[in-house]
Amino acid sequence: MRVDLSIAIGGFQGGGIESAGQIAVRAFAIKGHEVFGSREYHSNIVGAHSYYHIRVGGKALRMPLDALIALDAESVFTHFRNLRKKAVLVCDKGSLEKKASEIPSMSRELKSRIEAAYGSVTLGQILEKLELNLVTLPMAELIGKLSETVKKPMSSVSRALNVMGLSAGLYLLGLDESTIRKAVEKQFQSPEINLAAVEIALEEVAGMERGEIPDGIRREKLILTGCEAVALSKLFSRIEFMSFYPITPATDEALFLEENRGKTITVQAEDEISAIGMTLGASIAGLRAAVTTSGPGVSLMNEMISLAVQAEIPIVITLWMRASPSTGIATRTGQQDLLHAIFSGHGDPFKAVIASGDHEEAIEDVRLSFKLAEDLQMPVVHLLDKYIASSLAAVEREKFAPLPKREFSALSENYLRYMITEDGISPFLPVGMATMIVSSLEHNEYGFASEDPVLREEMMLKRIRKFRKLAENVAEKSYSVYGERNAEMTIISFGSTKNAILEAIEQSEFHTKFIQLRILWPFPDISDEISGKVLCIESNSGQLSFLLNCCCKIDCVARKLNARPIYVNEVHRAIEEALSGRREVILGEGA
Amino acid sequence: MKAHEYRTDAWIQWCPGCGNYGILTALREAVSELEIDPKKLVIVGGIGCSSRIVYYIRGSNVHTIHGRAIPVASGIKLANPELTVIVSAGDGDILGIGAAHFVALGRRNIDLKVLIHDNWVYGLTKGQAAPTLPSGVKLRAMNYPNPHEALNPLLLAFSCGYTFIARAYAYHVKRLKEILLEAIRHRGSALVDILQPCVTYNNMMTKEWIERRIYYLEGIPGDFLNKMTERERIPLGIFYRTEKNTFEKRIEKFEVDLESLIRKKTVTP
Repeated sequence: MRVDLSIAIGGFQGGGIESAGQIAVRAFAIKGHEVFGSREYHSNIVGAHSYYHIRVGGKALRMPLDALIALDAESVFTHFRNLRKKAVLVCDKGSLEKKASEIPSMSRELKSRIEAAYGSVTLGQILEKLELNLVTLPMAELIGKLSETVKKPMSSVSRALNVMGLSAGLYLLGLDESTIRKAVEKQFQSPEINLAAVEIALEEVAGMERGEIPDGIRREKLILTGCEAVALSKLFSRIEFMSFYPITPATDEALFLEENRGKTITVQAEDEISAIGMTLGASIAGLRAAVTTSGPGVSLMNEMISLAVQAEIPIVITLWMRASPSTGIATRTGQQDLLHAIFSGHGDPFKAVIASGDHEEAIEDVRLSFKLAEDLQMPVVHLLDKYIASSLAAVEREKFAPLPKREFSALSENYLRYMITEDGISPFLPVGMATMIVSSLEHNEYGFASEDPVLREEMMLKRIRKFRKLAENVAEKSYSVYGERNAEMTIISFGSTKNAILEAIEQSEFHTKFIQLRILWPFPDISDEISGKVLCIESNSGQLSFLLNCCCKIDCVARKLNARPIYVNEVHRAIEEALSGRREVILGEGA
Repeated sequence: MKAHEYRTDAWIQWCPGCGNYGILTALREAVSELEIDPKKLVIVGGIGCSSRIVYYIRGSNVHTIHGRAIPVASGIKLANPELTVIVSAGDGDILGIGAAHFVALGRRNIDLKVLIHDNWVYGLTKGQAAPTLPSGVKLRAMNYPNPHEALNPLLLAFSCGYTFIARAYAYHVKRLKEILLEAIRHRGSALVDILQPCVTYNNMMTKEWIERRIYYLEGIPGDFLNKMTERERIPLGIFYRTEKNTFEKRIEKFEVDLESLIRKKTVTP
C-alpha cells in the first residue's frame, strides 16, 4: 500500500540532523516504501538551522508537510507555516515559551516576517491558533533519563536528542519500534546509547494517538547520496585519476571517491586551476580522468577547458551547481550554471554538456561522460546540482556498470597527434608512446605551432567535424519524452526538476507531456515533440528558455529563484498558471 | 642519441642573441648524455618566448597555457612516473601568474624539474616587469620604474620544500648542462633558475651586466641561505640538495571491493 508523507526534521547544525534524516530514510526503506530525503543546511559549521526533508511514497519533495520533528524552537518557527492542517508537530516543551526575537541564530528577515504576521508572541501562542496534532516532549528530562539509564554524564548523551525526537516522531506517524531500531543500528557503529534513547522516547509517546504505516514491498534497497552515487559510478567506470579543490558540494563526492579510491590517484590541488590542470596532465598521459567542482570552480577552470578543446584532451568535469552568482548561497541548490557550462572556455569551446535528472541518471551519465570525452577527445561537463548532491535516494544496483579501460595501440613511427580525418577524430596516443606535441597553440597535424591561414581553417573545420560527430553520437540520447502524446501543454526542463515534474504530470487533471533535456550541448532540436502550450521550468533566471527560443516558442517560464528545490505542488501551480495565460511564474516555496 | 638528433625541423623564433638558445643547447646535450628516449621525454611549457622550447626539442611534449605548466606536468608525472618530465617556462609564467603552483610543487616534491628562464621581463608581451625585477628599475619598454619588490626564486623554492635548488647562466652552456644533468638525476622537485639576457627588452641586465656579477660556488655551500640572498655578486651552482620521499611514493594505493561498499550502503528489511 502506498504511503504518501512529507516530513521535515529540523535542528541546529551539528546537532545530528543529517544522521536523523538518514535514519528516517532508511527506516521507511526498511518498511518497504519508496523514500527520498533532501538535506538543507547553512554555510556554517555549527549552530545555524538545518533540516532534512523526507518524502515517502515519491521521488520528489512536496508541500505541505505532514509532520515536523523539531529539535529546537527555531525549527518550528522556520517550518510551521508549511504544515498542513492536523499535521504532526513534535517539539520540545521548552520551545513553546520562546519568542522569535529571542533566537539569535534565526535570520532577522524571518523574525520580522513572523512578527509582522503574529506580533511579538511566544511560539505556544502562535501554535494555539493552528489546527495541529501537537506533541511536546520534555527533552531535558528525557536526556536526564537517558543519562541515568546508560550511566553516562548528560553532556555525553545529549547528542542523542536527535534520535529521541526522531524516533518519537516516526512512531507517532506509525512506524513500528523494530523498524526504527533497525534503522538506528544501521546508522551507528556502536548504537547502544541511541537504542536506549529510542526506548525512552517511545515510552514517552506510548499510548498517544498515532498513525498507521503498513508494510510496503519489503526488499533490499541501495541508498546513496547523489555525491556517493557519482563517485561510485566513477569507480565502477575505472576512473584512474581525480583531482579537486575543496568546494561545496563537490567535496562530498571527492572525499567519498578518495576514501574508496583503490588504485585511482586522487590529489587535493592548491586551486581549481591546478585541479583541472593535473587532471588534463593525467589524461594526456593516458589515464581516465575527471575533476569535480561547483560553479566558482568552473569559473577558475575556464582557460583550462579551452586548452582541453584546442589540445583535444579528454576530460570529465563534474559540475555540482549551487545558488549563485559569486559565492551566493554555497549550500543551496540552483541551476544557474547552464549557460556557464555550455560556454565555459574562450573561443568556440566545443564540448558536451550532460544533465542528469536524478541519482540513477547521474550514475549512467558518468559513464556516458567518460565515453564521449574519450571518443571525441574533448571536455564533457556533467551537470548536476546541490539538490542531487546531498539528497538520499534508492538506486538500482544494476545501474552501476564497468567501462573498458582506455587502450592505445602503438602506431607507426610517424605519429600525428592531430591527424586530419573525416570525422575530425585523430588516433589518440598518450605522451610516452610517441614523439608529439600536445599544443595549446594552433598547430599542424604533428602539433607544431602554425599561424598559416589555410592550416588554421583546416584545424577549425576538424574541430567542427568532431562537434558534429558528437551531435550524431548523442542524437538518440538528447532528451526523454514523458506523458501524453497530444498534450494541451508541453513542459520542458532539465536536471533535478525531473521527478517533481514527472509526479505532477502523472497526477495532473490536464493533458500534459514533459520533455526532459539530457544533452544540453550540442543543444537538441525538440520542435517536433511539442504540442499545446509550452511551459519551461527551471531554477534560474531563464537560461533554458533562452536556449529554447532557437527551436520553439515558449508561452510561460516558471522560475524558482529562492535556492530551494522545486516541489511537486509548485509544478501543478505552474501548469495551471501557464494554462490560464500567465507568461511568467515565480515558484517560491521552501524554508 | 646525439644532441643534434633531438633537434626538430621547426624554425626557432627567438631573437638573435636570446638566452633561450643557450638553454636549448644545454638541455639537448643533457638529455642526450642521459640517453633519454624522446618518447619518454616530456617537456612542458607555459606561455611566452621560453615555453616555445617544446617545439625545438624532440620529445613527447606539451605546450600548455600561461602559468599552468606545473599542474599539467604534475598530472603527467603522477600518471606515468617512468617519464622524464621537465617544466620549462619564464619567470613571469612560473613566479607571477603560476606562483601558486610553484609553491605547491615544492610542498609535494613530485619528481619534476622546473627550469625558469629568468630574464626579469615579460618578453613576448614586449617588456613588462617580471616578478624577479628589482624595484625602482625602469627598463626600455616600461612606463615607469618598477613599483614592486623582486622575489627571490631560490629562497621561495627553499621555503616551499624544493629538494634541489640551483642557479645557472644561459650563456655558460657547459656549466648549465652540468647543472641540468644533476637536476634531472635528482629524485624530487628541482628548481634551476637560469639567468638570461633579454636582448630586446632588458636593457639593464645585459650579458655584460650579468657576467660582471656572476661567480660559481665551490660545491654545495653550508651557508646556502646567505649565498641565495647575496646581492652584489650573483653566485651560480647548486645551493641545496636533499633527499625526501616524493609525492609519487606518498600516494597509497590499495585494493577496493566495490561490492562490499555497495553492501554497506544497502538496507535490508
